[in-house]
Amino acid sequence: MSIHSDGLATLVTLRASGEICLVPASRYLTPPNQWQLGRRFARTTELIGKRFIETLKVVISLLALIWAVFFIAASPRSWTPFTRLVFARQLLFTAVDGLLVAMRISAAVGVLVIVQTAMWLDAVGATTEGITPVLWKAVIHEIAPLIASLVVIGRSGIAISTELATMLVSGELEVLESQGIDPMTTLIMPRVLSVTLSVFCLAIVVATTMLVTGYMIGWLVGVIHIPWANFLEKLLYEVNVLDFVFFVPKTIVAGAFAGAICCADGLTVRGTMADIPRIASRSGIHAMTAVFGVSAIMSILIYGRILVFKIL
Amino acid sequence: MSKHATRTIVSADAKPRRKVLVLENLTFRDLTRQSLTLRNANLTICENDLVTIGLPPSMESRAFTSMLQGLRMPQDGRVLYDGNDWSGENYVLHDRMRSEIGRVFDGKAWVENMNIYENVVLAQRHHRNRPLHELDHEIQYWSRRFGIEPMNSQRPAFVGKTFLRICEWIRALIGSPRLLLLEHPMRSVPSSRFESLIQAVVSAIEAGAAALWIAPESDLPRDQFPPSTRHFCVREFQLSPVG
Repeated sequence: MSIHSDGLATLVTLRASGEICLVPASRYLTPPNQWQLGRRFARTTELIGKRFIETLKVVISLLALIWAVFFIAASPRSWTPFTRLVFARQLLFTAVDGLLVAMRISAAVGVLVIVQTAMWLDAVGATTEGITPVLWKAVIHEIAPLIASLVVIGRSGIAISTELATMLVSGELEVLESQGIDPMTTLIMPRVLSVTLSVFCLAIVVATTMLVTGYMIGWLVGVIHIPWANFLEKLLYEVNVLDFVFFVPKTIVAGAFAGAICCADGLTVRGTMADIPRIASRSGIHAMTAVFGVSAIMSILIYGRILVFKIL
Repeated sequence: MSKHATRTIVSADAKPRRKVLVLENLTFRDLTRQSLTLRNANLTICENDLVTIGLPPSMESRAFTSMLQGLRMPQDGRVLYDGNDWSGENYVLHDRMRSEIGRVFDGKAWVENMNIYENVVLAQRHHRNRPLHELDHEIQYWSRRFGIEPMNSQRPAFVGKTFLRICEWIRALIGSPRLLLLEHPMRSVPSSRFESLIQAVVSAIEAGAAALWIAPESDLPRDQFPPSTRHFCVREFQLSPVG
């Protein structure tokens, strides 16, 4: 294709006979005028606006769902034997059965983070004693809540979404409702609550495992030189109230969002069993996105920064 | 005619019987499946009443029965259960109303991740928190009456259809329901058990319940029902009395 000085393009095409010919360019290839540019800009902003409003609606409906869950949970009448059974089973599957997985992953991440940090500090000539504040902040503020959330979403969130979608498609929810059993009280509330509680508890386990295994491996390979008692003392010295103000709501809000998203996505399935895998994978992605989003927003709100970047 | 068919259902002539289920100018159709469709139907079922509706072959009743329980909305008209309709947002009342209805389902009837026993006692435990020993006693009574083995802790997917169907009957009957909605209830049931099941419905009606039995014409054992039973069939989307 060649472009003439007047701005019109010409296309060079090869005919079947082997002859080369020039074809005048379509008028669509001409540069848009101001009116067309304005229209494109308007369409783009309309699209962005629509997406924003849709996202806002989803966030608001999720907040409403979380509010409803805690509101229903606060009423003793909601805790019927069936609700208690569902809650106990979900907590067992999400928190207790997920304990070993969470410990394995956090041990591996702990070793990587602590050994890498110690090695880099060694490389820049700093003492490895300076490792503790970095570790404490990184583990408590970001890594432990994230790993706990990801383990819970991967093990239980997608399973919840699949289970609810299957119940809906196969008519099991109708069976429950026809017996006067409200699915919101008996299926969604206990699941969201147990996911929330599990993320909080697993985050504590993850943080502890990371610090202990990281120190052990670091000490064994010789990149950490201080004894365990000193290491622990320095860690405790780094503790301040703001860390708990950050850790507790962050894990609880992230867990509540993850649980609510998985339940809500599971109940949006329309059609047949064939649609369920798509819904399940989509809910996993949604929940992970929400966890990262919540993490970023809470970092900004509490510390005024995200990672190392000062925002507020 | 079987022996129980000759029994007369106790009717409280002295005082007017309570209307348990009323259909008022009801128009209902479910577009997604070949469901029972009605136009401007009127029907009143009082306590001690047994009503049957015969369906044309291959017509389903699940959507219609769910509509009777307020889980679906009719296109026109209304359904009253014990004088209350299903509109509005009083969900606690609606759940309580549904808890008084025993239902045998046309199609899926079980929560698969619970065993059969848990499924059967679910509503009774949920709404009335009845103790397990009391429920066990009642379940054993019905199990003996229907001649089935005691319920085990197997999940519904691993149990035979006949056993499941009888367990569904037991679930519908325990707790003295005020209304029985029986959708094609003899499906998967051998004819040798028909008598005991119909007798159970008669007992429930004598105790003050009302019952609506919906099944294909070919599967309705009309000669085995008590004489006071009112029979209807669906012709051109209308409920027509039979006999």
